[in-house]
Amino acid sequence: MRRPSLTIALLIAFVVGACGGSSGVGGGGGGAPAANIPDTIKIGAVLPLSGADSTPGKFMNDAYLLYTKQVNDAGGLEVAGKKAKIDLRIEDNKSDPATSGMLYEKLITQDNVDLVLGGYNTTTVTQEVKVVNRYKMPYVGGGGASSSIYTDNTWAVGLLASIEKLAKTQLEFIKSQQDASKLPKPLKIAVAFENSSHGKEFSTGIKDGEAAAPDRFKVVFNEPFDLNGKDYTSLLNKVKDAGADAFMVDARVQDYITMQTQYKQIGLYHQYETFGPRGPEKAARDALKASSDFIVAATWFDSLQPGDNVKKWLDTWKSTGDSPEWYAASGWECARILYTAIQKAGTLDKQKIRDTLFNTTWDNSIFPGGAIKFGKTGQSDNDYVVTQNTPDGNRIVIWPKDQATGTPTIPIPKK
Amino acid sequence: MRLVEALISALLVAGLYATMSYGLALIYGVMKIINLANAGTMMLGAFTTFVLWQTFGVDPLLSVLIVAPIFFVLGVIIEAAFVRRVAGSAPIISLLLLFGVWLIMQSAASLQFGGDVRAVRPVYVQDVIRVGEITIAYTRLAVFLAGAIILVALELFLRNSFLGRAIRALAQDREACALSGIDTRRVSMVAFGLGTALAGMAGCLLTLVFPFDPDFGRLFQLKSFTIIVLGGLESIPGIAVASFVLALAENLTVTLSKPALENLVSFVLLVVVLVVMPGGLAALVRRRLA
Amino acid sequence: MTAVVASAERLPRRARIWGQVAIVLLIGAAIALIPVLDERSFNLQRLTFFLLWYATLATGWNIIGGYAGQISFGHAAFLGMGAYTTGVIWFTTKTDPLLTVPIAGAAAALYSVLVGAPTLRLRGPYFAIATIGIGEATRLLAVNFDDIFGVTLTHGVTGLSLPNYDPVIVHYAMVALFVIAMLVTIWVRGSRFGLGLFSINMDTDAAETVGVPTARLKITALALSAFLCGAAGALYAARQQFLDPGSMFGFDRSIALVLMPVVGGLGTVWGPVFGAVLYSVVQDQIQSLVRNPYLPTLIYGVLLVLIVIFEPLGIAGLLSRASDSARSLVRRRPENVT
Repeated sequence: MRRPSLTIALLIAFVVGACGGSSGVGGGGGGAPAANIPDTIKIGAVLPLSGADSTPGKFMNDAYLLYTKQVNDAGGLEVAGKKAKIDLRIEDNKSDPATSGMLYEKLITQDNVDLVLGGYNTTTVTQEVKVVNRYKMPYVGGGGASSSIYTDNTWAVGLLASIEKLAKTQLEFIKSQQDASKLPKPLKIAVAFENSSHGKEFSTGIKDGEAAAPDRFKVVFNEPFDLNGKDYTSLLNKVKDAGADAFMVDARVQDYITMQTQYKQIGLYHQYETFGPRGPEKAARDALKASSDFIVAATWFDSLQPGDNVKKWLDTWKSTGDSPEWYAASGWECARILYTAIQKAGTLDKQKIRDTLFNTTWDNSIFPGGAIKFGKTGQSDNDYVVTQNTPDGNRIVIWPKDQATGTPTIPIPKK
Repeated sequence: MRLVEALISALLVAGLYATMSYGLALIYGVMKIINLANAGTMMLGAFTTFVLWQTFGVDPLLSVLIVAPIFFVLGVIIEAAFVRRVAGSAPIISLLLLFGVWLIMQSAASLQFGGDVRAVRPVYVQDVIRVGEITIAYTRLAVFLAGAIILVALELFLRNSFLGRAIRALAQDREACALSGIDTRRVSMVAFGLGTALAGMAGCLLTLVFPFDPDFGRLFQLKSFTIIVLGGLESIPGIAVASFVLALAENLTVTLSKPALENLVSFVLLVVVLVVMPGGLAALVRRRLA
Repeated sequence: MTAVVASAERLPRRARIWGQVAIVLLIGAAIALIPVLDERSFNLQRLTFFLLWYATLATGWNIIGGYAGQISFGHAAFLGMGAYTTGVIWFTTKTDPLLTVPIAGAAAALYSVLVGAPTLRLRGPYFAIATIGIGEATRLLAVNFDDIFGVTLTHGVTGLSLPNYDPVIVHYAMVALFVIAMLVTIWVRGSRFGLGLFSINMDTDAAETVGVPTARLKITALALSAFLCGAAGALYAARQQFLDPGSMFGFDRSIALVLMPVVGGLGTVWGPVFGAVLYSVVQDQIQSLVRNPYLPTLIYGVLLVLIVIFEPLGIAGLLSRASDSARSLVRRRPENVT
């Protein structure tokens, strides 16, 4: 009988050891008394600091940290007349959705965080939004764009407009080029998309555009490919056979680099080429150099956008030494909106903060348009900005027209 | 035309596949254990190449010569420190042991390099050779040739040197070798070292064609399994053929059906081959001849 | 001879079995009481749910991997199959997910028979390799299912987002499943069926020679194992309300399912539970303490190597070594067979 009793001992030791201090705290969901602001406000976040999404994950991590540091350096966040320091806890989910869900649950139930900032990657964010809704925890996310995330959602808000809209924005731009006789009508499009909700919505967006304007767009190839693929030559050969005018891909940064390298190796050419939101990232331009010239991208943010807010942010961001990618801007905006919402609500009461998040128009934004407003489902519907890489290693904003910083080079010159 | 391209593309990839599978087959042949750490070794080889390239600017093709001896020693150490201790146990035990070694390699690399995907991109990465309408990437051709040279050199060593012949003898009949006075322990150690060096070299060559991360070996591990099982676990020429068959099957799957199913091919092939023709292609051919 | 040994031992063994059953019930009752005593004990509920969940999975794996010695690197396939069965039925017909737990288990068992019937004919390492293929192929199937068959069932990589459900009810269901899994493993260990599995583990050829129906026993063990993992998967679906192929069918899951029982004690009743406790602690606590997600894997790798070389019976073996009298409990069964 001795071993089984050891089991019990071990179990008890585990349970006691694991949740020491958590008993009696009462955990999430409870409404804190309105005026009762603690000395430190605990904020939690789970990000992909390693694995497939580690590049955007690190940028968001740095943005969260930098914004928080600024607030703390200024003495803390002033809530209802009291300054409170912010204690930010960030965990690593290894780019795994299930792990991310469990870690958010742990932040809420064990670490008793007051509020949470969001993670990255549509699938992961969907799981996270499930968890925060169960624990009635306000959540500000800047890393998931699929509209499917926000079905049945009442507690999370998301900064990123949908991927369908990304595709449609590009089609709008193409229309303007067709009207200027720069691109043929109808434009034969080859679509290749990563096998994820992100990619699928990109494909849907283009298909919708085709259905709405069959005289302008004709999808001649439409295939998904595996994430983290190593070899795209066979896929690209199929694209070659499709004889399209435009090549529209949705891929992650690393897959974009791999695919574009092989694209050039097998000597492919299209009048219009895009990798969805990818293209101008520093990592990709460093790796691909001239091979990434003239690629068009639509993103939620670009540092070339006009406006004082963007300039001010760029100055601040410089201190990190990182390039000002859109995910950094997105993370920054998440932290800004959540912390401002606490101030506005004047309390840590979760219901009130949630209402503030949903009912406020968030001005002074660095995102296109200068303001963010969350819709009924919690997702923002902001405009995209379209850029094109230039041969001097830079890029120009080419859409919307009133924000353009240069003339697009369409069709892409054949070398 | 597309078929010719598919054949050439498959052939070029097959060179790499063969290099990475050869090590697995060699170790299995001599020691009758499956080196689950093969994938980890390949990954370490790739990262060693990456470090050499980044800090000293060593070309990946050149670093094969540096990686080979280092990994030979690594293999010898793994054999002497771990594998030898479970020599007499059930095959499951050595499988679990090497699985542990793989986990250690993978997490150690992750601790050191993080989970990011890396790539080695020398200046000639974009260069292509054109033959008529067909374009061949220079890197792929280089990797294929390097793989072929490595395999031929190994084959010559196994056929002509005393140690090489001892390795081949051991693969055929361990007990007879022991009786005839061959130091089976030492030969096993050398075989394990050679297998590890091969995996390391395959990792080197891989960097030229594919991006990689600490976790990347798994996919290739499964491909190597499929190849050695298809080729017949101990048949060396069988492996070359099997590499080509797998590469071609993958290529055709993408061309004729859905690109997303590319990796399903090797797994389905693995299970089917294991069940339908346990001896692999070699056994099939032998059966036909008999 | 086995029969003689068995009859000689009947009395003490029976007492031992009832003692173990009592302990299982005690643990179950204690954990079931947690939400009753404090309905706001969310953290404790979370920890104990996943502790029991891991323990059930490890116990399930142990039946085929530990008792029968057929190492499976692809058990996430069965876990995921169960989770997705419940998930898809729940999503499409709005059936209460707990009602579909037996169906999920049965679906996983059926799937395991389908893939196990051909592969279990393979010996030792060949089976292990085939299971890696099974695991990956199943994951890819879940990813591409909707595209291939033109129906919307798994929702591919997007994941299956499920309705809300009361986690407290799932907590009780988890306790019940854990108790069932433990009763099954205790029963198997003491039964003729278990004896047959151990004989396969020791020497398949010898077992066949003395008339043990090895093929049938192996497939039964695999189905039983898959049933428990599938049922556990169903409870995961009910609690987390979100499924995605990477998380459910991923190789990392399969690795965890191997690690827990092997580190805890291969082929012992309590080993998988020990392994699950250790895994939960490391996964949940140490990871955030050291702030590095790779350290746990490094620890497991080192543990695995040490255990295989020095103490093949894992934590259970270490504990039994510590107490001489208990040692026989762990070792007796296999030694009888040889």
